[in-house]
Amino acid sequence: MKRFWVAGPLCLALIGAAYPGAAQDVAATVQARHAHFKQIGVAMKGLSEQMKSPAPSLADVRGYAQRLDELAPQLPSWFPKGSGPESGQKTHSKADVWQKPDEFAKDAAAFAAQTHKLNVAALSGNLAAVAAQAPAVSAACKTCHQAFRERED
Amino acid sequence: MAPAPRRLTGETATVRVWDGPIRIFHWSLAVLLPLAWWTAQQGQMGWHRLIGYAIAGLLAFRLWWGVAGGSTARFAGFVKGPRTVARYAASLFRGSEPGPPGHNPMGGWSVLALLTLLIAEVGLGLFSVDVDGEASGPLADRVSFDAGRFAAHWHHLLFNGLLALIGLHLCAIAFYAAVKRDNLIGPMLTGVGARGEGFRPAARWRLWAGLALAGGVALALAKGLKF
Repeated sequence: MKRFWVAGPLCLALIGAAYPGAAQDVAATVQARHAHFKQIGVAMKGLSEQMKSPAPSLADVRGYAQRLDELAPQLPSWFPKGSGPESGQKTHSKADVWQKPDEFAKDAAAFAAQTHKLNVAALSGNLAAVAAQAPAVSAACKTCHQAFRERED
Repeated sequence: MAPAPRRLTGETATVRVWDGPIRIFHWSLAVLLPLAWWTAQQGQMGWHRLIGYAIAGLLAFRLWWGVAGGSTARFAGFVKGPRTVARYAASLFRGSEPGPPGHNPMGGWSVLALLTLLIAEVGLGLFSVDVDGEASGPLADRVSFDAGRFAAHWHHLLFNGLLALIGLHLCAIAFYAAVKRDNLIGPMLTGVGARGEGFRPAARWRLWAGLALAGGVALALAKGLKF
């Protein structure tokens, strides 16, 4: 009985201490994911503006393409288990990210493959090749967003 | 089946209430707004942008027509002070006294609210950036990704405000038809109504000036204000 009075409150205290900690971790994960996607968005916006410009800057195009090629392969690591809508965090990620992991992995890999091709095109210095590859990157964004991202409306 | 609403007095509809440009403006919006919504839903951003430029041109025309158009189109003619609006609102359910031709004192403010919201909606759309950072409004290159997303967010929210005002507009039309026995749709189609006097049309050159302004605004925005 004495042991219960020690172990019980201790256990509760531990849970109490761990619970907000876990919630904070999830919040930080979701925030970091959001920040990473924002970096992708910034690079995509920059790239698309360069490609629409009458005189695109090759240096800028290379910078954006390289950034995308760095970020894209990391994408699956931004979605650890427990960071979905069930966490109560504000996220546009659908539960399907974790419920259909194979399909999600396939879409993420397709995005990484297309951004890599974009980076190769940018490194070659051939802006026409970049322009030809850019729609494939956008399409990879859209495919995955349609399946795994909640619309904002 | 109730008979179609018509004026109880049996007057024939022969008096000019709306000029042609205001009717074309109105029905163009009635067609383009649902199309704008539909193209956005479908992700047809190329078409969505084109529709946006057309609406921007229409709005520019309407502002010009509000100071230069036919008498019922002019802001000075239909924007009334709070006392007139309150008096009109109080008389709404009393008797069947016909309101003034053109926009009534409450409807006038509804028009201003709709125009304000439409201008804000188009303005936000110009700077909007979609979530992929790829499709965007024609002026989005002047703002950051964050600002563009902010604009897109409000572009989206404000559309609900527009829907609410359009809903109110349709309810008012139904109210006038059912309770006041006043058909508001007919005159907006044909330009003539059962009552109203002293309609003063605008000079023809003002129409050409308005069309030039509308076309200029739509083209300038389509080019992202780069010449």
